[in-house]
Amino acid sequence: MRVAVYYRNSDVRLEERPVPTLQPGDLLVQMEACGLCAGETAEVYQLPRAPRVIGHEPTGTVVAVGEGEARFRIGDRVFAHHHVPCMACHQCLRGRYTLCEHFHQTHLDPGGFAEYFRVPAEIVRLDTHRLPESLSFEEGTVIEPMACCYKGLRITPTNAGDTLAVVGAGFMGLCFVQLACLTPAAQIVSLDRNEWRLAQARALGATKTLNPSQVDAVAEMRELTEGRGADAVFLTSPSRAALDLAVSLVAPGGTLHINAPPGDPGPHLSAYDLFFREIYVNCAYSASHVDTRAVLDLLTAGRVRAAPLITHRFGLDGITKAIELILSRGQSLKSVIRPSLTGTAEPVIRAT
Amino acid sequence: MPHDTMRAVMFLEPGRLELRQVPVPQVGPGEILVRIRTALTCGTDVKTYRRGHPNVKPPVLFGHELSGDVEAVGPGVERFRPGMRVVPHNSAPCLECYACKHGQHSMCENILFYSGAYAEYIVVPAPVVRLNTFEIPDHLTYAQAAVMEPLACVVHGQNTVQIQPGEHVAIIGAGGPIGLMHLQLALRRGAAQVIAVDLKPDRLAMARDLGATHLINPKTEDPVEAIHRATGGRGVDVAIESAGDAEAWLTALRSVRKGGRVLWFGGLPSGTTITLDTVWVHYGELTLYGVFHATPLDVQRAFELISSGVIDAASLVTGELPLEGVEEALHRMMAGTCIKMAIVPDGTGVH
Repeated sequence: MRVAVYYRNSDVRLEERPVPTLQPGDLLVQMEACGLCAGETAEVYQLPRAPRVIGHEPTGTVVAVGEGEARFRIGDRVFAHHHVPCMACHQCLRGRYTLCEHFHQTHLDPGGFAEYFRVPAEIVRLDTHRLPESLSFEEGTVIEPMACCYKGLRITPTNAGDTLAVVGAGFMGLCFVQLACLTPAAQIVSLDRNEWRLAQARALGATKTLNPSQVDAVAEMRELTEGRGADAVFLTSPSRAALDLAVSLVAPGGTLHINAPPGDPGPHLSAYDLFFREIYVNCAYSASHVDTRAVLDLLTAGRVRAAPLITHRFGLDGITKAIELILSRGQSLKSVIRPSLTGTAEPVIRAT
Repeated sequence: MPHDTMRAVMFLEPGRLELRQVPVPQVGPGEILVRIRTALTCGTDVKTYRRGHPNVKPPVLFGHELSGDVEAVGPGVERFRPGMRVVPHNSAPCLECYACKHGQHSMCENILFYSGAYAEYIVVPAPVVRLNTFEIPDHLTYAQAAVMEPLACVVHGQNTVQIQPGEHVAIIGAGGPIGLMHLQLALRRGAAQVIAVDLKPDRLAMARDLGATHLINPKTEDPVEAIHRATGGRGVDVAIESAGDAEAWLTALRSVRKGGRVLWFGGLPSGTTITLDTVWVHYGELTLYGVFHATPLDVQRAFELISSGVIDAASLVTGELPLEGVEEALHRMMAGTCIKMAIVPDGTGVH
């Protein structure tokens, strides 16, 4: 089968690998669509692990079922998460599944950017789901990344009448905007330097958008909140400037939620400032089965939408182009990779 | 190595137990065979002996609080080896159902229970070995360690009401083993006042010895009025029912202040109903909790509470009998002349 092997952002090669063989309880899935995650373009993280098959947001069709697996059948359209916890360790018993050591040791085989991938039995049991007919394979790729945002909202206190700010209006920022609409917040403020992205945020429910390259965003936020600032700020950009902006937007006693890996090791944030304003800081670097299940239910019910977040499609041989697109941070959101597209397909921009 | 057969107490029907010679069970993959050194009597055993239990289908091996020595381990067991002193919980959740995925392991759709603590040997099922079995530290007796199971249930119950430092708490049925554990845990959570309510004077004395700040005997005074008198007419912040009695459920409901929390801990016979004053629940903004059993996290915390000495487990075990004495032990429980009895199969007083 064909797989896409990541060497560096400018070098992703199509290689031939054997189709994985199944152990009892496993599934073999023919990959239909797999999203490219911005985290996969962070060379500081990826280069030490290269070369390898990346891609962790896949959906597809079951083509073989391991011995003893009774819940899934050949032909099922499925989403499979790429990590599952052990459910039994110190962290799991406290519900902190993404901190389980076993969580990081579980993987789809060989990864999402492959014509076929094997879902190990433990992932089949804990976090593999049939896609409802109403969700396309492409829409199903949104489950995993949106689950990371869902977790961010789940661990951040929000109350009726709050003002929530989302820094960054890329794919993750727009997930947060949609999920924020499901809270009783009074105002949802989206911030980005790109006007096209701010327009997407308004279309998806932001009550106000601010462009920090054009206005004093902190002053505008105070204007919107009787001088207080936002009750919670969700940071989705890795840039230092975005982090500094996010912390200055938080109201005293509010929460700063960090959902993007900081682009440099720091130090960041003034403890002096956090202390005297009694700011809570929390983080979500990944999501668990609790979050993927909730997002699947929200997508199925139509409470959040995936289609407006998918702007481009490429074949397995177009991944370097998709990476360039993410790094340009322009008029694009999520790119999905589809093996059915041959050659380097032209991107398909959806009207939103 | 054990013999081929062993002595074990069977529950045949309400009011009827029998000590029988049965095969020693064999260990399978992931399981351990434990030579039981101490089993403890429990209020649930008493209820089952009296009237049967919806989850207990006789004839069945009886008893579920135990500790002992690992006699043999099945293939794949790495954490335990023969000779280790261990305490296993009496259940394990499946970790895969809807409830487990939501962290509500006590509501597991496939929860695995096993029994047979009143016997010489028992096989601990693999999921219990993996999740809910602990090595007993040297400073603990077998009897202290075996308190882990009921204490886990108490920890689980108090997770709901979240007693805050300085709060006022009443425990209805404070003098039984469960009530005395609720009492100790409430004090350790910083309760300013813990009012013990019980029908038996010697049990109230035990509650006093363990730190109860106020004693009420419903035989001599109305408990609801007495609790209000003890709290400036307001009622307690938290009332915990641990008597397993419908009247006690209502006493707990009527004893809290406006905005208070009620923990109904004791299970009642199938079909039991109570009548609530809806006006009181509504205008009083009451929060009412039902609880069942415990989660692996509760079990782990109970083990820590006993081994660290935060909870005094030794004082809850007030006597000892051999396997032949299980019925007598249950009768002593019913008469209230003990807190918990230790059943020691080899009769050598090891606890």
